[in-house]
Amino acid sequence: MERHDQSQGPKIHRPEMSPTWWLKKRSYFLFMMRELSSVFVAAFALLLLYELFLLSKGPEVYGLFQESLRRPGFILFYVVAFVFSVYHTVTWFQAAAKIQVVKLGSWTMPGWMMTAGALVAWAILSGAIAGYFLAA
Amino acid sequence: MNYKKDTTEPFWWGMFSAGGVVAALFIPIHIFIDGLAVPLGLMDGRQVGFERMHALVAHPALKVYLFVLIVMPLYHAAHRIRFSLYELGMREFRISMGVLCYGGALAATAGATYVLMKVL
Repeated sequence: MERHDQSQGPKIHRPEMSPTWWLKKRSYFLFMMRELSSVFVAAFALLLLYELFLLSKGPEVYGLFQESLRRPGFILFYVVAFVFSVYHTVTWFQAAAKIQVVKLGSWTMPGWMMTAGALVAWAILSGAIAGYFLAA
Repeated sequence: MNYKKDTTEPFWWGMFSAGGVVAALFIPIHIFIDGLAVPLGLMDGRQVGFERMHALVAHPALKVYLFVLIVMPLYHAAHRIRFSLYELGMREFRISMGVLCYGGALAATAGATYVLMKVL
């Protein structure tokens, strides 16, 4: 279906791209993996919401589902989702350093320093959250 | 030539951006606690067991935290999925991709509100 034919004014150039263009170059592939990370992040968010919903169904239902989360299939999901989510974190702060340039007087903070700072903050925050949940 | 201006785009981009920050800072450790800490033997499961979680979600502050943790990354993902589908060569369906993706995030927001406010 051509939405823009010549009779209705200038034709819009639509480059033809194969559905596998992102496999042709390493940087394209990494770009697509970064995009794909959001799918795993969203899947985990929905899983967490479902777990919270099951809290309302009482200890047995909740407990049974928690047990099923310890099966290999779910553990595999968690491992893959964890790797993708960390990839999101790293690439997000790399991009943020390019977008938000910090200048102090005449000195411009290098991008890597911004990224490193954000990653340190992330590590501290993660440690605090882990401490909160693990200390039961 | 008239281009149709998408006036809602800045709002969705803002949600994508804010959601990206929440996802970057909070999601990895929660995936770890929820699914990996027990198999790795770092905790015995009581920490995310019924008694503990039920007591925790009774606290309004934790509800707000969980709401942000769940909802914001969904707006982030909706935006990325929308544009990735275009990049993979997909064109608009009868229902626009934006409506499908952001609508999904809105529906999940309603679901999270319902679970956190009404059910728990």
